[in-house]
This record gives sequence, C-alpha cells and structure tokens, in this order.
Amino acid sequence: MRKRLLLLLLVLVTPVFLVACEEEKAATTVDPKVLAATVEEAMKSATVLGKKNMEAYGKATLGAAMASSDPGAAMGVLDQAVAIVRDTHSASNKAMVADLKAKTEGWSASEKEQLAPAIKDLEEATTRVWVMRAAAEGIARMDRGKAMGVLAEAAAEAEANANARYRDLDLRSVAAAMGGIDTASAVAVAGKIADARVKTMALTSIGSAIAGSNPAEADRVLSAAAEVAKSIQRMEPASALISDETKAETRDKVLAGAKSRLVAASAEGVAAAAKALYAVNPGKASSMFADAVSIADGIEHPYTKAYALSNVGIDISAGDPAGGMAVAEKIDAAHADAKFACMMAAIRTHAAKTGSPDVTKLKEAQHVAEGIENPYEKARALEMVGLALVPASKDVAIEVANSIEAPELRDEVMAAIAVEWSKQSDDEAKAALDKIAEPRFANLAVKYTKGSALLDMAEIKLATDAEAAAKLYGKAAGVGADCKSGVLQWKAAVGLCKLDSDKLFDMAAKIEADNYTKAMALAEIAEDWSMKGDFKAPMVWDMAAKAAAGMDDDLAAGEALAKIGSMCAKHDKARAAAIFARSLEKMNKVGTMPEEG
Amino acid sequence: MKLIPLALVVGLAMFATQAFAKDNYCAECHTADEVAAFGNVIEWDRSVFQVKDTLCPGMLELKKDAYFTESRLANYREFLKETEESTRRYTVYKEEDLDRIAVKYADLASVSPASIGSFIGPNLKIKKSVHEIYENLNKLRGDYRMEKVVGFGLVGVMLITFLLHLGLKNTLKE
Repeated sequence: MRKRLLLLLLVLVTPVFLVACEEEKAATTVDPKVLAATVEEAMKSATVLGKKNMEAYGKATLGAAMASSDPGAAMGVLDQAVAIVRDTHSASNKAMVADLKAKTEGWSASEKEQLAPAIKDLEEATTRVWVMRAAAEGIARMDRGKAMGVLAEAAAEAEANANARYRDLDLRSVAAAMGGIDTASAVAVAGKIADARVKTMALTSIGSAIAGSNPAEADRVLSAAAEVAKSIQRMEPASALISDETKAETRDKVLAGAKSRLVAASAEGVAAAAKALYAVNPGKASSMFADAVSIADGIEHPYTKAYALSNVGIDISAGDPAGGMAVAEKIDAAHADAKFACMMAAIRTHAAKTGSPDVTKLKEAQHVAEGIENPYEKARALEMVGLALVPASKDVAIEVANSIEAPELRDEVMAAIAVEWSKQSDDEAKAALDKIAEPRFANLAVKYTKGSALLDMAEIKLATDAEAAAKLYGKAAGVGADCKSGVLQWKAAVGLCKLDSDKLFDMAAKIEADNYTKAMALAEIAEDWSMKGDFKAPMVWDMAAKAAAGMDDDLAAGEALAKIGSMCAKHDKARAAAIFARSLEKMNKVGTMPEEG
Repeated sequence: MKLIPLALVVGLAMFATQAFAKDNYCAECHTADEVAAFGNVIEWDRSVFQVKDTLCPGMLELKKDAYFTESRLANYREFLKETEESTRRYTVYKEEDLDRIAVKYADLASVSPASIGSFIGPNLKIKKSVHEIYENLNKLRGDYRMEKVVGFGLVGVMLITFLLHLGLKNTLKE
C-alpha cells in the first residue's frame, strides 16, 4: 500500500517538475554571451541609423534656411537629406531588422525584453518618414512638383508602416505638408488615416492651409473634418489600464472614463474645424460650434465635461468673444479653473478687437479665479487678470496684484504697471517700480523682474528718446550683471548697441552666457548694424557664427548657424554662404559615430 | 507668448505616452508652418489639469515640466518662511539658493525651446537643485523636532530625579 502511494505521488509530481524544468530551459535558451553580443550589435545599429536620420533632419532644416538666398545649393543639401533617409529606409536595413526579429523569435520573454528597445529604435529609424517630409517642405519652397513627388513617396512608405500609431501620425503630417500644394492629393492621403482623431486633425490642417487661397474648397474640407470629428464618439473606448485580470466593475469605470474622453475629443475636433472655418464661412462655423457645445454638454464625467466645454469655448472666443463667454457661463462654478480659462480667452479676444479690455468682465474673471482650489494656479489666474487690467485701470490692477499670494507673480503685475506708467510719466514709472519691495537677502528674482521691466521701458523709449532708452538699457544691464543673468545682459546689450555701436566691445567680453544666447544676440546686433550700413557688421556676423559653432551639440550648432545664415543672407550673401557652409560641416558630423577609445 | 492653436494638436492627446517623440523634435509630428504658429508653449494660460487631455505629447511634456518647476519655486519660498517661523532657524542661505535657481529658470524660460529636450534637459538640473533644498528643509525640520523631543525628555528626567531626590530625602529624615 505504502509503495503504491509513493508511486502515485511520483506520477503526480513528475509533470510539475517537468513543466518547471521546461520553463527554466526556456529562460536560458540563449548563451548569455550571444545574448549580450546580439543586444550590443542591435543597439549599435540603432544608434548609427538614428544618427543618420538626425543628420538628414539637420540638412532638411539647413536646406530650408538656404532656400531663399541660394536655391541651387539649398536643393543640393535637401537632396542629400532625402538620399540619407532613402538609405536608412533601404531594403537591406529593413531586412536586417526583419532577420533580427526572426532570429530572436524563439527567445524567452525576458531575453526579448532586453532587445526590445533596440528593435523599437531600429523599426522607427527604418520606417518613419517625418524626416523625408521635413525635407520635402524645404524642397517645396523651390520646386513644388518635386516636393509632391517626395511627399507621395513618404505617404506610400508611411502607409506600409505596421505600427498603426506611427502610420497615422506620419500620414497626417504628410497630408498637412501637401495641403498648401495639392489639396486633392492631401485629402486623399488624409483619407488613408485609420484613427478618426488623427484624420480630423489632418483635414483641419489642410483646410486651414487653403482658407485664404480657396475658401470654397476650405469650406468643403473643414466640413468633412467636422463630420470625421463627430464620428470619434463611435470609437470603441480602450485603456492601457485594463487587462484580462481587471475586475468587471473597475473595467466598466475605466472604459466609461475613456468614453468620456473620446466624446471630449469629438467636441474639440468639431470646434477646431469650426475655428478654422470661421474666417471663411462664419454662419456655418457658428452652427458647427453649437454642435461642439452640444456634444461637450453631453459628457458624463464632470471634470472632462468642464474642460471640454472650456476648450470648445476658447476656440469659439477666437472669432466670437460673446459666444465664448456664453459657453463659460455654462460651465459649473465648481470647475472654476475651466470657467476662468474660457472667460479669459473671450476677454482677451474682445480686448484685441476693441483695443481696450472690459474692466467689468475682468472683475468677474477675478471673482472666478478666486474660486480656483489649487493655490498656485489661483495665483497664476489672478496674475493673468492683473496683467490684462494694466492698460485699462492701473488702480484696479494694483488691487488685484495685492490679492496675489505668490510674491513673484505679484511683482510681475507691479512691474507691468510701472512699464505702463513709463508711457506717460518717468517719475510715476520710477515710483511704481520702487514700490516693488526688494528683500534684504535673496533679492535676485525681484531684481530680475525689475530688470525685465527696465528693458520693456527702454523699448518704449527707443523711438522717442534715445538718451533715456540708453540709460534704461544700461540700468537693465547692471541689474542683469547683479543677477548673473546672461539673457538679461545680452538683451540689454542688443538694445544699447542699436544706439551706440561702440558699446558692444565693452560689453561682449564681460557677459557670461551660453553660446546659443550669445550667438542669437550677436546676430540681432549684426542685423541691425547691417541695415544701418555699419562697417563693423561683418565682424559681428562672424562673432555670432563663432559663438554658434562653439555649441557642444553638433545638431543644435548646425541649426543655430542655419538660423544666423538665413538672417545674414538678407544683407550679405557671400558671408551667409560661408555661415551655411559651417552649418553643413556641423550637420555632416551629426551622422558620424564617435571614434572608439 | 501664446499657446499653440488647439486646432493643430487636438487628437494627438490619446497618443500621449507611446507616440512621444524619441528625439524630442516637434517636427516629428508637425510641419514647419505648424511649429511656427505654436508661440511660447511653456507660458501658463490655463490649468495644467485642463491641458492634460488636450495637447500633443511634446507640448504636454513641456507644460507639465514648466508647471512643476514654477509651482515648486513659489511653494518652497513659502515653505522656507514657514520653516523659519516655526523652527526659529536661519533659512536665509536656502532662500538665496532658491533665488539663484529662480533666476536660472527665468533665463531658461525666456527662450523659446528649440526642442523638447533643450528645455527638459536644463530644467532637470534646476528641478534637482530645488529638490535638494526641499530635502535640506525637511532635515532641518526633522532635526528641530528631535531637539525638541530631547529637550523635553531632559527636562522630564531632571524633574523626576529632583522629585526622587526630594522623596528620598524626606524618607531618610523620618
């Protein structure tokens, strides 16, 4: 009996051990050395291809910057960009990724996990077409036919992408780039997008691009965008938060939340299309806005509903401030932040249209802002009200400023009041600035705010009183030096150099700032001097280029040089060509791997 | 400085996590014309909670990052004052550190970011510095609490010793 029992136990336990051994075996299918070598090789390939793509992107940026001054050279650089993308997307590279995936198919989950980031990067580098699209945008500045050819190639490749997200996102941006060139082709590309949320965005981009040149077609495309946006509500809600193990009750709650977000996306999509249509067909746009409000109003979850209504109201406010304000009134007072954002959008548009802000409405907005629960956002909202009040009523603005609990935000409003005073009275401006209390210690942030205000005051004085402007720039530079702010000092230097070209060489050596800030400030000075025909301008262009070339990151340096080159090209094409050549040198380095050791 | 036109970004929200641009360039999803219309995206113009479902992944990242730093700079200043009042400790050095960080952040935020990484990278250093101040303050509060406990404990022990002494003295007299 005892023997039989033991035998039975053995029969029952053996499969358990066998399964356990099988799992153990699966976890160690690959020799660790092979695993490490494969992962390293894949990562290296992914880095090489990624760098090549960034080189192409840099060249696409440079080509676009060169297009207006030297179309021939620009086309050459853009062709290089397209060629690099074609090379990274080559059949051999795609086959390499496919081989790697096939070779590792039998690996265990933990082994595959180690390789997954490299495979993801390799797939992105060999399939995503955004760099090709960026190059086509530059080509379109010179040859729209050729650009359409490149965009069609990009669209075909994007369509074949197995990753549904990247497929749709790339098709969207290609459609948007085609929008201003060939509407029919652009709409056809947008039609291939599977996700309604992305499709409505593509159609809105196309419609916006042609609104000025072809209103009737824009009307048709934007109406189609609104219809697609409405269809978002019919999408099946999904969430990464749920799995097979999720309890039914939790699953229902999560899916209900996702459904509400889909309805919100639908309302906002309709409103976005209507916003673009407003300039072309205000009557139809208003009807679309009403649809958007109605969709948002039907959202079940209160927070999603409030934010969706607010976002729709903000879009309405861009053309119709009264309509935006009406939507703000619909938003429940419990969601003060959403209500406030919508109200402020309407008030700002009304102020831009009439030239003066509505003090009564701003006081209402202040009241709403005071109901915002989050103390920091409440302070931000009150700061926004205070700043908007400054041109209409300094006294009310001071009242609002005094109600702000965050001192740095309160100081921003007080500084804006001082700047506003400087348009009328220097003494009042000084007095207002002096009202901003400077603590005995830790006063740099306050000084920074005052320095920025001095710069704004100097800008105002620049046209009427050069001497006063120079004095204010000088003071701002001093404050910038106290705060050790390179940005503030360079901004002051740019202003001063517009008035007195000898100041640059006194100041430039003293300012400590990063190379990008320095390069851009010097380019601004060089541009001003070039316009005035100052003989020192070429030297300053060279200083700007040198600073940009000194940036650590090759792509960032190349982009900065391209920017400076395009500014310079308006005044000195030969020098611009030299700057573009330096940019190309940097871009060539982007795609190269650093030497080992 | 204006927030991006929502028309260009509505719809990307649902892709927020997985479609986040690897190299952090807006050009990965947007055309040059769209990017040019964005303006300064880190400026506050509505609640960060309102932004979370409506903006593209890159914009969302920038908005959240800016909000995180700005709100902490403001809140920690208050926290420093409270710490000084409640613990009677000298926090001016920490205030000066925070002040210097605020200037660094103001410089960073005054330039429109060329890419998401060009803002988030330097901002990460700023956030780390702010967090160090927070940790120091917590330590300061913890030390103060400990000193208080030790102080009260010492007084208590002295009182008990005194009473014991008194009791023993009276007992021995009898």
